[in-house]
Amino acid sequence: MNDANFFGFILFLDLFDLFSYIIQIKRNDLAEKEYVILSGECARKRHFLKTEKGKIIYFVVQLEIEFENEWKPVVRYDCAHGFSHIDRYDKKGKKRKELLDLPFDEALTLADEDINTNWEDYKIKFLRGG
Amino acid sequence: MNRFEIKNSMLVNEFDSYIREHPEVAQNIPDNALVVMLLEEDVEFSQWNRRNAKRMAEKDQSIVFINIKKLKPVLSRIEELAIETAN
Repeated sequence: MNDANFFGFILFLDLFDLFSYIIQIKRNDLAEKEYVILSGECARKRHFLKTEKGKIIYFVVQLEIEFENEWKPVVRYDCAHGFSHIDRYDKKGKKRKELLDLPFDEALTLADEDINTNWEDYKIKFLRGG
Repeated sequence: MNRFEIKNSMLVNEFDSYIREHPEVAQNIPDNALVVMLLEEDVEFSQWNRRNAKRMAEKDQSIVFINIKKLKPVLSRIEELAIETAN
């Protein structure tokens, strides 16, 4: 191997390390997490959060009710398609969409507070078929 | 809602706010885990929620207990306001 090839090879290794490092940092910047929080009798709240550099960039907050041995979505707040909205489900899984005219962080706060406060009313309405 | 459910809703609200402020903390929760609130100063409430967790967890689902040891007093977030009277 002559000098030019040798230094070319070293440069290649350095660049390879640099790109690997950048890719690793990028991967560490993005994180996803999904969990459910127990709300009450046969009710739980699902959280899906996507973060970038420690900031929430996407969320789903969903109330689920146990009905006929299955967990069913009842109310779902999310920010898919670039706008925050609510989906309201009936027992058959049919949903009604409502747009939320709110900034992202306020929509997330509303989602949490609404479900934490009103989960029982939503449950009763869902089980009655409303 | 009964007394325990009201307390649980209040604690879940506090936990949600904490996660919104510190989303990196959520990374310590195993994926798809069932998160259950406990309150150190209320043994009866904590026992009630532990029982609920056992009953409601799905097969092979991890259960994560969030044990609140101390809460700050509830304070208003309003920084400034004006009171105007209409005559």
